[in-house]
Amino acid sequence: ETWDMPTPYPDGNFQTKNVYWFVDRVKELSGGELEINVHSAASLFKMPEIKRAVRSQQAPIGEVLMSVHGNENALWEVDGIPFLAAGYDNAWNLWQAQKPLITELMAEEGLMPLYTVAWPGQGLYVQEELSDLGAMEGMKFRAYNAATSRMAELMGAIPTTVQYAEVPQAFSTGLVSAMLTSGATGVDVKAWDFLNVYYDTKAMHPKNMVFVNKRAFDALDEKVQKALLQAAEEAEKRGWDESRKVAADTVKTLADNGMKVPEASDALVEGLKGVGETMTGEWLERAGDGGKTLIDAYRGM
Amino acid sequence: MDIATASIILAIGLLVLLAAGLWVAIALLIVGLAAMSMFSSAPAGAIMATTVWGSISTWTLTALPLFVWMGEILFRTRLSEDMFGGLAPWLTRLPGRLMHVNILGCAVFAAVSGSSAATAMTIGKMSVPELSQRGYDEKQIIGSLAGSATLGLLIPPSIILIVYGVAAEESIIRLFIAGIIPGILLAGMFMSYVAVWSLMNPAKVPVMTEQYTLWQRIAASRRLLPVILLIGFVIGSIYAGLATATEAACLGVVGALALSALSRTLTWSTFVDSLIGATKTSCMICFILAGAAFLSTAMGFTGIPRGLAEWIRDMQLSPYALLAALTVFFIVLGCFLDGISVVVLTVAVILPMIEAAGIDKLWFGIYVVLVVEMSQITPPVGFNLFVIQGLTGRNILYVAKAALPFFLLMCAAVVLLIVFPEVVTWLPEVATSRN
Amino acid sequence: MLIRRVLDGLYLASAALAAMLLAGIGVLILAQIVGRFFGIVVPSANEISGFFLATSTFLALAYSFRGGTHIRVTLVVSHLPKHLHNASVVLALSVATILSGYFTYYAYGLAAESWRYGDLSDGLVGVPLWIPQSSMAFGLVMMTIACFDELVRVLRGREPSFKENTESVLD
Ligand code: NA
Ligand code: NA
Repeated sequence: ETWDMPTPYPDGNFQTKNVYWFVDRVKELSGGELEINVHSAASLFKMPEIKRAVRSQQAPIGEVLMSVHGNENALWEVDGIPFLAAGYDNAWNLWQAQKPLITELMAEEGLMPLYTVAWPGQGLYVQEELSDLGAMEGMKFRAYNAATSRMAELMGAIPTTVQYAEVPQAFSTGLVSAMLTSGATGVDVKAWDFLNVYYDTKAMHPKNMVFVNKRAFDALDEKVQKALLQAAEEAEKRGWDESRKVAADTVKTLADNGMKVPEASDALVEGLKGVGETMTGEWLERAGDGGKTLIDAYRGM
Repeated sequence: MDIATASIILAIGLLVLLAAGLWVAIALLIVGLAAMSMFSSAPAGAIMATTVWGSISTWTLTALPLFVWMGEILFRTRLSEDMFGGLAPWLTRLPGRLMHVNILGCAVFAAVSGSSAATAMTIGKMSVPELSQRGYDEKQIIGSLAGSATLGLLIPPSIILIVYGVAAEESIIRLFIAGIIPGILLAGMFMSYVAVWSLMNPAKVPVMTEQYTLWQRIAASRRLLPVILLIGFVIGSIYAGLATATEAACLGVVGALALSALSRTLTWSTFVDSLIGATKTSCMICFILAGAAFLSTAMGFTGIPRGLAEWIRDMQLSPYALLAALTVFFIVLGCFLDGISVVVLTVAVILPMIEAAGIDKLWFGIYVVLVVEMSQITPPVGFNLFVIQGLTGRNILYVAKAALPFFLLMCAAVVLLIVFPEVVTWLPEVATSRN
Repeated sequence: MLIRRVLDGLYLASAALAAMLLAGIGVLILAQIVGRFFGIVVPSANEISGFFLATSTFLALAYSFRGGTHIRVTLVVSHLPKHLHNASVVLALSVATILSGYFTYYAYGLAAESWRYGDLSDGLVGVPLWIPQSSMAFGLVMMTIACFDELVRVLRGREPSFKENTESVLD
């Protein structure tokens, strides 16, 4: 059998490379009985369409950035709360706490998660070093979703909507002067062309998820199902390891290209953690009982 | 079915549907459905709905209707008459005279708009009636408009350079800077061609009746003030950090309305007419874009473009032969698919080839834009052809024939780029060598 | 005839709504530019203007189709003898009616699914997707009716309305 798999990011991205590794592994483990054609860079479906396309069997399998569906249910965007789970170990625990709830949520849509891979931790890009959070006052901060917009407000900055593709131009012209994103994205957009300082705060690790349509999965032979699940487990492990490597490499690349990568001062860290606590509280209100179960499970680890 | 047979069947199918007088968007959707049902068991109808929805419900396209609206408003002012009147005294010595305004207008507008359809529509709406009224050769007017509107893609800002930059992980700023010199070069080639053509066909250039003194020229230049202010306002808003390139279109509408009010041509009825005109034109363009998007998704399912690219890869060509093969590949595919789709569908196969051949990715981005520009004016599927048919009522084959010399000039520009890669790489190196 | 007046009224009304949505894109983006100046975020301005564009496109479809704005290549068919030419128009309109109907069915399916699962857009405000998607379906219903309307008109021996497009800037 041959499956088509829409993915949002281009081939050079480590997430896509991991997807290719996964599909190779599926082919190997299933003895060639299941082949998956990867259509990267949103060439088949655009990111917001991928989940719906898989749900209605327009494609049997797909990949998506989980927080894109945060408006539908807050459980999707728990990995977008800054400083709730900083660093890979915490991010992994958060995923373990999130997994049963998300699995249940997706089952209602006839979907099943296969694995996730965390992006490198997000840090703060600014033009000049910051003594504390007060220095962000009035600064134009790039917001691209509800979480980053709220974060900007709590930091005293002005949230400014700029789409990914317009980031370089928006910074060059002074339309925005700060953003929170991963080192990897900073390297992708060549942040050193228009920014000077990167604080590697590892504030949060958003995740990409690879998931299948449950009916398509059930229609596979048991042997192939097992192969798919095993490949997913291996790809998850490999993906998280790769992500750590990318995180280390990209911060180095930023520095090599002339960006300052200073330690955040204690005052700055305190300020950011305060923002994180407020946002966790607000998220809990939105997410209801499921949210409380998730956070309790995470904190209990 | 093998890829070659299938491609030929689909291409012929498209030609037949178009020749039968079917509407372009509908023909594209039907060929997309046929391609999907030939190659894939995926539900074609549902995918058509999803793709069409995803392709036009996106912010990246919102600049297009606004620019079209801006053109409709300006069309109802005296702006173009003033612009041509102000420039005429200065261009008396240049062979081809006001015809160059078509090219220069597109080049300047390209600095505001990232799309070639918007450039063709906005500039054409003003320049075509003005030039034909002054007795310039119709074929030359249409050809130069079709050709130079493609500069919208090369001169920054540019949607396709963003698409390429994201896919190739190349700096978008550097790509933008790299597009400047080739853009000017191409505009210069177009102008030289128009000048030479005018010298060779004096009978087809309107007779010049007036002589101007320097003082008269300067006095006439006052009439250029509105257009200079408008262009300055829109471009200035981007570089002053007031608006993104997509948002600048909105300021273009505001500026056009202001000019229209100042020149007392703004009434409720001209406002409504301009808005209805823009709604219809933008509907036509977006519906074709939607059809092209679905055809391109269907091509993704069939794997045809990727398969053809892999076929080229497996030939193991030398860098020059590879570029020659790719140019033919892009031109042929560009006849049937929209240029940006060709890039999206094949970049995954082509980029590794390019890197393996030791070709600079930044240079390749500009090369790709040039060949994609060509696809805008090659029949049967070329967006500038559709836009200009809508604008002038001349059929797309006539427009394509008029644009043929400009297509050949673009081929020549590709050769120039290959022989002198510094045309692309020099400026970005100088501009970003701050560390 | 009543049905004629109702149909023409419907085509025009949805085109008028489409025009307002197009102007709405300008208003939203202008609000975003001006708002940024004063530190105010216009929530989801980009997503919503994308929805406006899609909705405007489909609502204007029937009206601009009848107005002759949509592009077709008449080079070949215009050289055919009169009766063959008429047959080609009937054929083209029949195909267009079927395709539009087929598309309508799936556009309805898309909106119905978004409704069923309560799908929301991403961005600051979660817009229920069935709202803009059902206007796509509605626009396609109108388009199907318009194609059929034209087909009937041509079969009755009249010239199709889309021939009367006189808006081009060249004569
Ligand atoms: Na441009
Ligand atoms: Na073409």
